[in-house]
Amino acid sequence: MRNVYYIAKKDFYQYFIKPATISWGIIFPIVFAMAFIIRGKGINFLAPGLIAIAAFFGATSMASTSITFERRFKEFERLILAPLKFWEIVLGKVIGSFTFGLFVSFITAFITLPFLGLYIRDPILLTLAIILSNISFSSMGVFIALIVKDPRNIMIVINSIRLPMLFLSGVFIPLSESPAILQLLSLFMPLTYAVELLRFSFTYMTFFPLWLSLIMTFAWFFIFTILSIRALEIKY
Amino acid sequence: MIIARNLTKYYDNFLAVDHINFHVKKGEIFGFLGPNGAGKTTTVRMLSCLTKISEGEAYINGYSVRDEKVMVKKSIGVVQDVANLFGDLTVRQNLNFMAELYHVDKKRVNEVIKQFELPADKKFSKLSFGFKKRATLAAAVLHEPPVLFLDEPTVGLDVKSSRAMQKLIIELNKEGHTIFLTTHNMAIAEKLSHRLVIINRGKIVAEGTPQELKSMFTKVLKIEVTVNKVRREILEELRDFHPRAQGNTIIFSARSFQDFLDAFYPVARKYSVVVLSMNSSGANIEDVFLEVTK
Ligand SMILES: Nc1ncnc2c1ncn2[C@@H]1O[C@H](COP(=O)(O)OP(=O)(O)OP(=O)(O)O)[C@@H](O)[C@H]1O
Ligand SMILES: [Mg+2]
Repeated sequence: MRNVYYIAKKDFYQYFIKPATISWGIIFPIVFAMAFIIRGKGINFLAPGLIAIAAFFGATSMASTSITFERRFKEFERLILAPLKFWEIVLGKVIGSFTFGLFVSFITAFITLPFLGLYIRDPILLTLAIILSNISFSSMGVFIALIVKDPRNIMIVINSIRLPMLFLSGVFIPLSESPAILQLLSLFMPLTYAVELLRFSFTYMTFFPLWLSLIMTFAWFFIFTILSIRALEIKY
Repeated sequence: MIIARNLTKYYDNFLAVDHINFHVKKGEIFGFLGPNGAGKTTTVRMLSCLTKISEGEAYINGYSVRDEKVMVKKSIGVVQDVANLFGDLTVRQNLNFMAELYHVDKKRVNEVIKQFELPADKKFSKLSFGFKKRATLAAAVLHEPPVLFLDEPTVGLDVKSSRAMQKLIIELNKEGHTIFLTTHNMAIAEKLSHRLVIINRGKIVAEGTPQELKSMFTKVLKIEVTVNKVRREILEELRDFHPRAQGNTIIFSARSFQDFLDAFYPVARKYSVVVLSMNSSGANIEDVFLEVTK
């Protein structure tokens, strides 16, 4: 576990101020937030989505940047050379980006919520929801960054996964109003469950039951982490 | 210390390393000499757990490279063919991070910074090429591994840095590290390694001490020695080497330069003959190299 902490600490320090993390991990979600605030309508519905987006982009950007940078310059092989278990490497990377995502989502929450004048029903669940979503998103980012063939293409690859997900996960359009096929698709999106969790802590009203979202958010973290470890085992 | 048995690597269908066998003894500098694309880096990568072994087995420090990866990784330090410490971190931060991952006391970081004369507070990416190599070597020995893999450690270095690097390698060997050294530079292989193999297109084509390799391929060496005075006794005592005198120069033929020297010097001393110059033409390791890799 010590090794996990060392890797996470180094990543946070090293990638916090990288252009790619800042633009996709901080500026993008904030611009989105602004757009929401200006639009001003249906804010009760949109606010949870806003925080979800911050977590989503924050955590995945950090994960994909730190890993693909290191893969490109073969720095990543230093981690493989070190006497670490593969799970320690994966968890170290996940927790490094989790910390960054957490930071971005809390900042977003603190900046925007007062503007929106929202009433939070369940602050504890909100905190838990933010934590859980960041965990699942960072493991997703780590997995994608590990398996992308050419690390230089990471932004294209990850955005072609992130952007469609943004529109299929009930961030903008309530799932209850979506066609059945989209509802079905959304079942396979980690973002869906994060949005649901966050929404629940604001309004107690969601499309899926709370327990499902809790389990699924955790399940995605588990799945992506196992798959990442598997990816390392196959490669090295 | 390092054992390879039928070690093989396929990249898809391309056979990069072809069933090679070798045994590196404890305390040795083992040269792994070969032209570009021979499979040197691939071999190092297999032995250091950076790429999967396709066929065969390898053992390092008694541990199986396939099955006991963490123990193998603890036993080795690797300088890869690229200088790949973390570019955004300073030399000290890099070494501190490595010290954490290898569970080494941070005091050791100061020790290697001193030993390798590194600019501790410069970012790694801002270092000159030579210092990048040195810093990477420093990171590789931080945990004092019994085995060191050095993949082309002198490539791209100027004469001075290359000399300094060679000196470091010899020092590290004296400190007790067994060293696996790849290079395509024959002079360096010859100078540094106790034993070496030559690899070509994934196959080992020759092996032995530098001396053995040379004598194996020596046709006949021609050695010209210019002395202050030619004495008949010398010509007689060294008649095995077919001497011919031309003025103050004697031309000998020999199969091995070393054998010749061993015979020549006692005789020269005995008759107080001063050697003014000595030239030999014939096989050197470069000839051997070209011969076996053609
Ligand atoms: N990842 C890879 N995928 C496919 N082929 C590879 C890969 N890495 C190396 N090769 C091929 O395997 C062969 C051996 O390469 P390797 O890098 O081991 O040679 P080398 O002896 O280190 O050469 P050099 O002196 O140029 O460093 C080459 O033909 C190379 O093109
Ligand atoms: Mg190479």
